[in-house]
Amino acid sequence: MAAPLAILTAHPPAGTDPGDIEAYMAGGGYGAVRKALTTISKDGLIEEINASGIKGRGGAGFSTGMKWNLCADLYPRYLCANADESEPGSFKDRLLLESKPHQIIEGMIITSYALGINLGYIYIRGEFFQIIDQMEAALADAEKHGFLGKNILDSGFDLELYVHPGAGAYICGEETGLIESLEGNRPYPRLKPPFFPAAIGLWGQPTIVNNVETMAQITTIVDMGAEAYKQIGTEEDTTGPRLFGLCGHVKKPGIYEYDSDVTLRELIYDAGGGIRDGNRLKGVIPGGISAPILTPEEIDTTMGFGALGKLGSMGGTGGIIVMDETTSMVDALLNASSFAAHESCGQCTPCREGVPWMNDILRRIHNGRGRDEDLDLLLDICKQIHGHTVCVFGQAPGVWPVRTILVKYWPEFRACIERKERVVLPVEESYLQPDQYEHIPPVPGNFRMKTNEADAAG
Amino acid sequence: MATITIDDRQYTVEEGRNLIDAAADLDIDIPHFCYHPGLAPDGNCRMCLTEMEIRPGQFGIVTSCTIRIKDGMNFRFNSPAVLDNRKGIMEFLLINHPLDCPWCDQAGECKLQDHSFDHGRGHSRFVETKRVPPKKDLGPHITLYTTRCILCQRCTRFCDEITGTSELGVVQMGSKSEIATFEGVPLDNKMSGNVADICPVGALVTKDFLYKPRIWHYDKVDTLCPGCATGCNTTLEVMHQKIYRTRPRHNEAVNGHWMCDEGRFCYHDWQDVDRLKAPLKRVDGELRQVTWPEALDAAVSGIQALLADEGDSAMGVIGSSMATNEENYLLGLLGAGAFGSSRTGLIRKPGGEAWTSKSGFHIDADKTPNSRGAGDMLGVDSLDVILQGIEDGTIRGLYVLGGDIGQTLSQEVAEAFRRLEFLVVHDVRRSDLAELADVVFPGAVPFEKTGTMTNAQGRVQRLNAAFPQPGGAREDGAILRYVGLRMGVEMGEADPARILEEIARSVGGYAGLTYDLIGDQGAMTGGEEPSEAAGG
Repeated sequence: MAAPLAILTAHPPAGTDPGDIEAYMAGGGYGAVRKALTTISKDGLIEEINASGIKGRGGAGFSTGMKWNLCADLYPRYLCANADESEPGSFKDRLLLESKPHQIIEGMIITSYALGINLGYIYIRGEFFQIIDQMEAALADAEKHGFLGKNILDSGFDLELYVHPGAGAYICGEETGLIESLEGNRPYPRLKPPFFPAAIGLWGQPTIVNNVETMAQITTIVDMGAEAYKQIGTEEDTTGPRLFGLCGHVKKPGIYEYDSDVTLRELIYDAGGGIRDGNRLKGVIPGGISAPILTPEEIDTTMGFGALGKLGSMGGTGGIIVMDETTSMVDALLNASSFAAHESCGQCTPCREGVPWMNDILRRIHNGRGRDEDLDLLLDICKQIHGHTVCVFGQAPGVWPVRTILVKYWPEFRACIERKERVVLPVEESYLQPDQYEHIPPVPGNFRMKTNEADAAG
Repeated sequence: MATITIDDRQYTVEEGRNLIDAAADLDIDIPHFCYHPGLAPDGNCRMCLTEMEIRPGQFGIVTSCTIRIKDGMNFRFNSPAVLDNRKGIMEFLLINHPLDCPWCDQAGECKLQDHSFDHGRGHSRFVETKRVPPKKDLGPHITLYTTRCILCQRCTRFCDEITGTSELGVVQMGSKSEIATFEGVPLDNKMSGNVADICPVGALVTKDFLYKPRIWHYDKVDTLCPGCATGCNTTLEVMHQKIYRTRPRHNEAVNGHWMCDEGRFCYHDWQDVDRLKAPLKRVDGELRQVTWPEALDAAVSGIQALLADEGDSAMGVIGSSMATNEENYLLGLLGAGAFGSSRTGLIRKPGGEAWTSKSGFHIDADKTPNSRGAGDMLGVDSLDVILQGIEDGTIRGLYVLGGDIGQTLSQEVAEAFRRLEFLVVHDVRRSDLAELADVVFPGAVPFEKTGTMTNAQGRVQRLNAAFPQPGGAREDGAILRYVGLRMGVEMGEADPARILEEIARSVGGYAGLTYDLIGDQGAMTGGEEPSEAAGG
C-alpha cells in the first residue's frame, strides 16, 4: 500500500489564510525563488527541470523540460499559466489555486527567470471569481515584497504577472484557444502547424503555456532538488507527486496526493474508502472525462502516464470518476457527450457537426428509440472526426469517451436498443473482455491510443 | 521553382505557393470551402485535408490551404484516408443543411453541390431533427439564409481583412454558431456585395439577385465597370438584352477579386434610362424624331455651312470619358480631317468621393471610366480651349460625344453652348446637353460597346459589348464613321483591334499595344507594369 504524500497538499498552519504572504514566507515560502535567482544560472535551472523528469500536469503528460527546450530563440517571450480547469471530474487546480497561490506564483517567477520571460499571465477560469480576487491580492503582495516588478532580488530580472479571467468556455483551456482568448478574440484554436505556441504564440511571440499544477511543481523541484524529486514515483514512468481528484460513487471523494506508483484499486478502495453503499464497481474514468474508461478488471494498473497509456487510457488531469453497478453506461456516455456537444467551439466542421450528432443519437438510444445500425454509425462518426479536427478537443472529450465506453460496454448499449428502454445490466454482463472486441467493426486510427505522450499532446 | 510529388508523379511548381493554388495550376482540384485566394487561409472547413510525408515513409494529414510549397514535398491526394475524410466532411456539412436547392439562388454555382456530387454519399444517415435558425437581414444589400450556412467564415474574414470594417462575426458556440452582425450595426460598407460572391453556398445572397432565373441561363460577358476610373474587371450575366448581375473578375493589378457596391449595382441606373432609340433633329426650335439619313444630312449640311462661311476653324470637338479610346480617337480624326480643327476639349465630371479599403482596394474620385484614355486620344484634359474659342467667337459650332447618364452641364458650359450656331451631340437619353443640340445621334451605353479604356493608373483594358444597342441607337464609333464618310474622311474599318493598331502608331504611350497583348488582364501604357499591384 502506497503511502499518501503531503507535498502539494501540505496544510498551512491552522488558522492562517493561505493567501497570507507573511505566513507563507515564515514557512520557508519564496525560498525557491531566492534559491533560483541568486544561486542557479538560467541554463542550470532548465537542466534541473529536465533532470527532474517532470511531465506536464495539464492532461497530456508532455515533458515540461522538452516544452521549454522547444521555445524558439526569440524575444520577448511570454508565459501563460493555464488555470482554466474545466474538464469534468477534475478539481485539483482549484484546490491548488485556493490553498497555494504563492507556490504557483513562485513557480511562474522561476519559469520566467529560466526562460528570459518578463511578462506572464495566469488565465483563471471565469467561474472561479473568488480565486481571481485572491490571486490578484497575492500578486499585489508578492510585488510589495519585491518578488515581482523591477530587478527582483537584485538579480537584474524584471517580471510582471497578470490575472486574466477566463471567457467561460472549455475550449479556452486549449493552449492556442487560451492565447486567442488572451488576445481578445473568440477562443478558436489555431492551426498547428504553424502556430505551435513555443514558436508563434501570444502576439506572435514564443509562448510557454503550462498548467498551474506544473507551475506549483516547479517550485517543489527547485525546493527539494531534481535528485530528490526524481525519487518520488518512477523515473521510467512519471516522477513527482500527483494530485488525484476522486469523485463519483466513492465513500470519501476528494483530492489525494500520491506518487504515480499508486494503483487505481488503492485509490478507490483505500483512499476513497470503497464504493458507496457497498456496491460493486462498474467502471472508472482515470483522468477526467476525456480519458478512456477502465473496466473493474483493469484497475490494478499504476497511475503513471505511461502505465495508463499502455492500457489505452491516459493519465489526463488525474480526475478519477468512479461509477458503481447502479450506473447506466448509456446515461454516463450521454452525459459526457452532452458536455462535448455543448462545449465544441464550432470552428471546424467535424467537431461542430459530428459531436452534436453523436449526442443526438445517444439521446435517442437513451430514450428507447435506438436503431440497430446506431452503434456502428456512432463508431463511424468517431472515425470521421478522429484526427480531422483543428485541435485535439474534437477527439479528446468528443470521440474518445464514445469510442471506449461504447466498445467496452457494448452489451449494455445493445440491450438498451433491443429492449427499447434504459437498461442497467449486472456488472459482469455489462462489459466485454479485451479478446471480445473483434466482433465490433474495426475502428481505423488505432483504438488503443499510442503511449507516446508527444503524440497525445497535440 | 520546386519539384514536388503528388500521388507518385513529379511536378514542377512555384515555390512558396499555397498547395491548393499550386495544384490548381496543374489542373488538379483540391476540394475546399473556407479557403479563398483573396483571403488568408483559415483551415476550418477541413475539406482540403491531404496526406503529406512528414518523416521518410510516414504520411500525416495536413490542411492544403496552409501548406506552402517547398522542394521535395510529397503528397497523396487520393489515398483512402484523404477520400474518406472528404466523404465524412460532406456528410457533416449536409446533415444540418436544408438541401433546398430547388429554390436556392446558389444552385448551379454551389460548392456544396459540386463537392457533394464528387464526394458525397447520395443518401443521408441523419435521422435527427435539423436545426433551423431564422433568416437574417444583415444590411442594405445582403440577406443571410442561416440554415444554409456552413460557417466557413469567408465573410467574416473578408470584413476583417479586406474592408477592415469587421461588421460580421460568429455568435453562439458549437453547432449553434451563426454568422451575425452586432446589434444596431448592419453590414453596410462600400464592398458588402462581395460577401455574396465569396459565400461558397447560398447562405449570403444579395437582395438584388434574389429569386432570379437560374444561373446557367445567362450569357457571361467579360467587361469593365463604368462606375469610376479604377476600371474594375467584371463579368456581366445577361439574358434577353438585360443585365441580371455584375460580378468582379479577378485582376490582381486592378481590383483583385473584388468590386465596390456602387459599381456592382450601377447597371440598374443604366438600364433604367429612358433611351434615345432614333436620331433627333431640331425643327422649328423643337427636337423631333427623324430617320438616320435625315439626321446625317442635317448634321453634315449644318457643319459644311459653318465651315464654308467661316473657314476651317469654326468647329471644335469634345470627347467623352464614357466613350472608348477608339471612339475618342475617331472623333479626333473627324475633327482634324473634316473640320480642319485641332481644337478639342473634354468635359470633366466633378469628382466624387475617393475611398481605399484596408487591403488597398481603391474607388476613384473620378466617376467616369475613361477620362484618362479620352484625354490621351484628344491630347486635352479640359474644356478651356473650347470655352475660350466660344468666348472670342472663333468657335461657332461643336461636335460633342456625350453619353454620361449621371452628368448635368454646369451653368457656365450650358451658357457657352447656347451661344453656338450649330451643335451635334451623341447621347443615350434626352440630357440637358441633348436639349441644346441641333442634331442628336442615339449612342450606346458602356455595356453595349466593344473597345478599350484606360484606367486611372494608365492600364488599357478591354470592354466587350454584352448586347446590341436598342432600336435605332448605334455605337458612337459607327456614327462617327457615317459622318466621316459623308464628309469625305476615310476612317478605315470599324474593328476596334484595327483602330487600336492605329492608336499604337500615333498616340504617345500607346506604342506596342495590341488587342491580343491587352488580353483579359489589360496592359500598361508606356509599356511598363506597375511595380506594385493595386488590387485589394
